[in-house]
Amino acid sequence: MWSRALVLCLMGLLPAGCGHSGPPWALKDISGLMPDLAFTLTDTQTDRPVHAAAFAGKVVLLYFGYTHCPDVCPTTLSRLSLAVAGLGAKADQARILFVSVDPKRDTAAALKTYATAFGPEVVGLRGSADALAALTKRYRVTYGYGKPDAHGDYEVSHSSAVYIFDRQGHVRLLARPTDSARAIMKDLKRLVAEG
Amino acid sequence: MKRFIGCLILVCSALAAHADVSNVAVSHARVRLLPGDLPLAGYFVLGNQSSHPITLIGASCPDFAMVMMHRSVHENGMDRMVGVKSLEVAPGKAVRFAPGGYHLMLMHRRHPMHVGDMVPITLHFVDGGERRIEFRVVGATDQ
Repeated sequence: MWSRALVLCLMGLLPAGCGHSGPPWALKDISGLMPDLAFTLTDTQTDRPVHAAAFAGKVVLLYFGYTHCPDVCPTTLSRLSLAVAGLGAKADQARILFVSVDPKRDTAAALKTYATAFGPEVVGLRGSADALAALTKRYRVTYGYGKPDAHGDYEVSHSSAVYIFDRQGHVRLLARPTDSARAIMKDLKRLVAEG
Repeated sequence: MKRFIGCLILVCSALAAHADVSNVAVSHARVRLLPGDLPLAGYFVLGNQSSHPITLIGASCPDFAMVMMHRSVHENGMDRMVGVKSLEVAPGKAVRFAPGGYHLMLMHRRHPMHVGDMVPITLHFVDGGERRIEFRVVGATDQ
């Protein structure tokens, strides 16, 4: 289905979600290449189920990681948080959704505290193994667990992609590790202004 | 006798060369704080200002049960960590332990930590050399 969307997109036959005019984006344009934002997970701020629809109207940055990650996840979340803070008064128009790929260790309480450490727009989300599998399959996110050591600690490898969705929940951009906070902020400003 | 003294001098100077890490400059030493008992990353810049290579083989800290050296690797769209057993720094060169690359992983803190605390981490070098460095604890969003 998504290869058909890609073909239609390239032919200019798909409306709205494809072929936006204007100057080039600072980040990689992946408009029309992934499904709309959709999930049912637990919002660790409220410890209640939440659907993607709850974030309609916000520009959403979707990132997958785990709290026992000392380097990459905090580095990425810092960068995203800095980009969102750069929106100033409009920062509240964006949400950084941090989905745990390590639900075993990342309890709702742990994720809530962790998200708070990075800024008010960061929301920690967790789900059952099934919910997580469905979501990661939908966005082609992979992850794997390393062998536990004597303490029971283990590493989790995970996709580095940050997917950015517009206020209508359509995927628009991909932020990679090499994209600076400044570049991300520049594109977020445009998406927020789109309305 | 002369041969013996000659050997002794050679051995002593060899030992001194390997164990001498006093000409190692360490700067920007910081630990990035995360909540609870999560593993933390330690970052720093290590400059070898001596005339011989130095080899970092690990680190230790009284405030953590375990400290390991790791390197974050980004490959095929995935992020993962690999353990680093030793890291040689050539004379006149520097190595950066920085976000997205080499980092110390500090696990199982022995007491709560706060931004602004100073954490003494000992860097261990091959052949027994050691340098104790004070790392400053910085916030989670510190760049």
